[in-house]
This record gives sequence, C-alpha cells and structure tokens, in this order.
Amino acid sequence: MTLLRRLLIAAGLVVIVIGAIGVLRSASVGFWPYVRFLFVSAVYADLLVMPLVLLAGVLAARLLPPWLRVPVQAGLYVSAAVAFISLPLVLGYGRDSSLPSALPRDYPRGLLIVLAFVWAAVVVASVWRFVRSRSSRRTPAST
Amino acid sequence: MVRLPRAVSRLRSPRLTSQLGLMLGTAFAICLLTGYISHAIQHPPGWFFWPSRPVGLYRVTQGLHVATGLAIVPLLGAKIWSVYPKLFRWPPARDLAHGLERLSLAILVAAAGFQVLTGLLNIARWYAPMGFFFTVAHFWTAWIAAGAILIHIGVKLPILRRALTAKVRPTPAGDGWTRRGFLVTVGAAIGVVTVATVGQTIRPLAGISVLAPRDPRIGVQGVPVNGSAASAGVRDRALHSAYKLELIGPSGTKLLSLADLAALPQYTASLPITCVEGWSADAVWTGVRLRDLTALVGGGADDVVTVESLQENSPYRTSTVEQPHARDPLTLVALRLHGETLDLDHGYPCRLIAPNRPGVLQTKWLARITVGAA
Repeated sequence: MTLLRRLLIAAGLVVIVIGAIGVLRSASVGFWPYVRFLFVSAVYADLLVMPLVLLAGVLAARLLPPWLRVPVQAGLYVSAAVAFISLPLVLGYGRDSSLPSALPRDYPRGLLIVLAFVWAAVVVASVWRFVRSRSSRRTPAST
Repeated sequence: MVRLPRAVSRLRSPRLTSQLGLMLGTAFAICLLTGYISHAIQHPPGWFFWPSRPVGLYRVTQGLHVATGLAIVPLLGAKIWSVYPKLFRWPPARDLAHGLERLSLAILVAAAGFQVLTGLLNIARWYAPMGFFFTVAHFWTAWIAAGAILIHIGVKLPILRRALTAKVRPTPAGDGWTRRGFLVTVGAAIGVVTVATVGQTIRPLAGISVLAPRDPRIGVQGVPVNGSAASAGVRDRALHSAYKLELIGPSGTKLLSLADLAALPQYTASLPITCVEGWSADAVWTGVRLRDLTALVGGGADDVVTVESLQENSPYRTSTVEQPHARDPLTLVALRLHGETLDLDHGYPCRLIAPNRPGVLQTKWLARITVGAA
C-alpha cells in the first residue's frame, strides 16, 4: 500500500472520529433519533429504491423491443430521480399557514409537468431509434 | 434471483463506476466546501474571514450547495446501481481488512444518504421525521461523510487509476445501453432536477422551476419570508406605539423612535435576501446606515456590532455583525422594502440587511444594537 493511500485512510479515520464526537457532544442531536435516521439512510437506497429500479429495468428489458428499451429505461431513471427529490414537496407536510411564501407552488402539478416533458423526450428518442433501426436493417451493413 | 439481461449487466464496469465516482466526489467536495463556508459565516472560527463584497457571493455559494445536493440524488443512485451486485457478495468479507473496508463503505452510504435525505427534508421544511436539530446533525454528519470518502478513495485508488487510464473496453454490442449513453442519461437526470428547482435562486428560471421549494417572485412585498411575525411572537411589541430602538455604545445609550430613525439620513441599497435553504431574492431596501447609528453612541469603523431582535427564545434572535459588514456603507437598518414601509413579516419596525450574509443573520424586528461583541 502506498504512502498516499495510507495517508488518505488515516485522515479519513480521523475525520470520521471528529464527526462522531461532534454528533455525540451535540445537545440538540439525540443519540437514538440520530442512529435511527442514519440506519434508515444506510438501507433505504439499497433495500428499497434499488430493487424497484432493478425490477423496472428488468421488466423493460424483457418486455420491450430493442428500440424502445433504452429510452424507456432512461425515462424511468430520470422519473425516479425527479420523484425522489419532489416527494417531500408533493406530500407538503412542511406547509405552514402563517408562511404562504414557503412551498408556494402546486407540486403535484409540477411533478406531472416535469414527467410529461421527460416522457415526451422518451417518445422522441424512441421514434428516432425506431426509424434508425429500420433504415439500418434495409441498408446492408458494409463493414 | 432474477438474472439480469446481459446487455444491462455488461454495462457495469470499473471504468463506469470510476467515472461516476469522480463526478460524485466532485459534487460532494462542492457541498462540503460551500456547506463549511455557510457554517463558518454563522459560527466563525478565529482564522475565518468573510468579506462583505461581492454582495451576492453567499447567494452563489449557498445556491450552489443546495443545487449540487439535489444533483447528487441521481448521481448517487447511478453510482450505487453500478456496484449493486457487490452488495450481495458471499462471504461478506474475505478477511479483516476487507471487512473493515466494507464497514467504511456502510458508513459512507449511510452518511451520504443521511446528508441527502436531511437536506431534502430541510428545504421542504418537513422537520418531524428527523427528530433532531437539522443544522447541527447535517454539519457533523458531513465530517463523517468526508472521512468515509477519504477512506474510500484510499482503498479504491489503484482501481480508480487503472480504470481511468486503461484502454477503453469496447461498449457492449447490440441495442442496449452504451457507457456514453448511460453517462448522458445521468447528465440529463441532473439537468432535469436542476432546471426544475434552481429557479428558487436564479430568478429568470423561476417560471419553469415548477418543483422549486420557493419562488423568488412570491411573498409579501414581492419577497419570500422564512419566519413570520406570528410564529416569532413579536406582533404586539413590534406594532406598539412606544417602540424604541436601543443603541448602546462606548459613549452611552440612546433610544430612537421610528420617527427618529426616519429623520436620519436615508440610503437605498439593492441587496439579495439569501436563505440557508438555498433560495434567494433581489430586494431594494431603504433605511439608515448601521455605521451611522453606531457612530451616534461612539462606535468606530473597526468595531464589531451585535444586533438583537424583539423575538425571544430563538437561536437566531441575535447576530454579530463582523467588522467588514459593520463598516460597509450598504449595511442598513432598513425601514422600507421596495419603497414601502417594511411589512411586519419582513421585520417591521426595522431590520438589519447587510451584503453577503445568510438570511438567518439578517435580524428582523430589531430591539437593540450594541457596539462590541455579544
């Protein structure tokens, strides 16, 4: 192991310990609420989001013709990212009647608008790939 | 177990993971740096210096912090996907070193996920699921994430070097993904997330950022509000006819009524209000220069100033105005916003507004101004 790698790992350990001590010494951060949230953070992506993503990807790969497959998988991935970041806004639990300028938009509508754009792009990309796959089938490959 | 179609699984490679890792590492570095800047402005260590100009610098650093944090969502998803089968490798650890490496990875995934989730909840103002004070937990967990990233780079450095310098493996044949196509899609996801939200700080995009937690055009007097007078419990004292602003300095104490303040020389400054939550809005403020007020009680150009709000029981009821901001002619005790009397929710009777500072330090409903540190 090179010196650089040893230094990176040692520095990383020190920085983690600083963070952990910081958490433990903070009166406004309770130990159990923190550990619970950290645990959820560790598993939600691996055990909840990722299996769904893989299932959607596998279904798309199995069921769709090749020209449709990649655009649909790309569309699912972008939609998942947008849905994830907008979920707390769509649920709207952060709304406060004394603060009308906080979360001022119609977020379900906003999410639908963004998804409509994403899937319009999927349609355009699919049509393009369909036309290209047909034309490449008609002209025999020269290579 | 579902067998993955070959074209999909073939896309996974050390090169793809390394490229995603570099992008993610850069994004985390931006978040850590901008996040630390925001923390240091609010809790300055001795060596830290934050200037009052350019007036919109904090607007850029904090806007970047939140925008980059949101961009991390699709990046982190792609990165985890690219190594996902390794999660179920059996046995879980070959030896002690490998076991420790995997433990550091678990810490990395947990801390990175924690930062993204708490950040998202905070900009959506949904504090209940956290059960702890956001800023403190987000700050210390950033250290844990940074440390885990350093360890991860240290462990993976040879793979990273090899993957990025080796001859590029040809992309899988057929109609499936290409590596480039996948990276373009990751870029597209980042682009969509960014355009859908960044209008909360880049005003020309406000109309199309349909998922932005804020709209810089919406709010009383055309400016968003983050804390109302009602929730701060200041309404009665702020509207009281006997209201007086107290000035305390080396030469004594002065009490100024709203009429006294209005009779002093008035200045107008165009300064953004910038929230730690990443939104910002342009505004035109009119009022008395802070340095003119402190001079009335013997304050000098080199003095630090402490301002206090009528608000009680809030960690942000006082703020320290460091010397660069205290002496800046643009720093005002504002009485008017966009030419109108300041709305109660914007800090009536008067509030502090200084260039290049987070909104939480732009103290509203001023009660007292003291020359010197608190």
